[in-house]
Amino acid sequence: MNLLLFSGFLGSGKTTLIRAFAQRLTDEGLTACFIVNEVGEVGIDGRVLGDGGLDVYEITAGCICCEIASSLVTTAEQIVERYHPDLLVIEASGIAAPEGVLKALAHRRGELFQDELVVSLVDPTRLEMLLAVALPLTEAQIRGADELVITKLDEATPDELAVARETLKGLAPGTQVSEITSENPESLLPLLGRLATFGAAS
Amino acid sequence: MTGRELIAPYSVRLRLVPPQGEFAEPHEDICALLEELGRRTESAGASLIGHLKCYVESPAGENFHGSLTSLRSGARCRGERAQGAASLTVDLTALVYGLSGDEVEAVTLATLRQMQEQGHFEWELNHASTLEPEAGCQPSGAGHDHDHGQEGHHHHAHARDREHGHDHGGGHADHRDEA
Repeated sequence: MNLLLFSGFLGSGKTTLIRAFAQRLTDEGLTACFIVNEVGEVGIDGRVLGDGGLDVYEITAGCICCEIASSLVTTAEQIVERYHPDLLVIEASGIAAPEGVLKALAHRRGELFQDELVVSLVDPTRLEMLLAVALPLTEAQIRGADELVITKLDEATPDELAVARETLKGLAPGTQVSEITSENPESLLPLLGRLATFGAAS
Repeated sequence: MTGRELIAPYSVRLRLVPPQGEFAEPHEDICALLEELGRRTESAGASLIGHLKCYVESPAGENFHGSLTSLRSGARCRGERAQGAASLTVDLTALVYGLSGDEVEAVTLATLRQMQEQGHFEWELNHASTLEPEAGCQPSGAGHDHDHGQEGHHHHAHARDREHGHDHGGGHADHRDEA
């Protein structure tokens, strides 16, 4: 089983992308289980994904990359033991650093999962504000990614897109960058194809 | 670390009742709620709206979700329309930088009162909680010394849970705790 971690700031589009990806997995006959982490007490995203027919485990009221990392490990172990999916998909909270999530699971690499891929989403319409208010977190999410995704193409101005492209290039040179909008499903296809290939490789 | 770089997750469960029998367009009412809440958080000094989001259910089991990440983009609702619902149960989470939990709560209550005055709905607040302010996680993995998470599908009370049967707009006191 491989591990796919979706990272990115609050409201960057993680849940929306995961819903589309889940459909792609179904189309390709792959099985997946989903862990959704929300920093607030009440889980919203888990129910949104659950409405799409997915089996979702919610971890709420804390961040799995640090304060409740042990909950992540326990939940992942339970899922694997019970379902043996092809892929374990984790939606990190919007304030999580992907490095911390992987660190929490590192001691189970090789037995619980074989390989991992980190996908970080970036909302170009708010990136400059994020860099001003939450610089360390934003840098950690970008630098910790194997794949970067600029979302909300339909909402961003040309200047905002230019800033996003330059920022990602500066912080994570050489990392694959996709540009998508949920309003145009076609824009998601290459990215979803690569992620499905990763899921099938386990 | 200054206050503007901290976020205090605030969650609340609401029951909304339409002024006249049923909700004609629940998506519109929820979007209006999120956008007014967004405006008020910015007016109150929020340095950044992280995410205002909610999950909404009707008594008939229809559900949808609402989301706002910036006032420029506005709020969006997706899911079933729930037109004609006699009430709506709303789980709302506000993740806002630069305001304390008490400030977010005050803004939320002021927003609800305004929505009622404008004839959108009457409301009752059944359960609310605020978590400790934090800045998000650092690359080193260091950051928090508290542990109050909930794993799996289990929900329990923690941190600063509040009950608000005394503070509602519609006169329907309803204490409810998900512990």
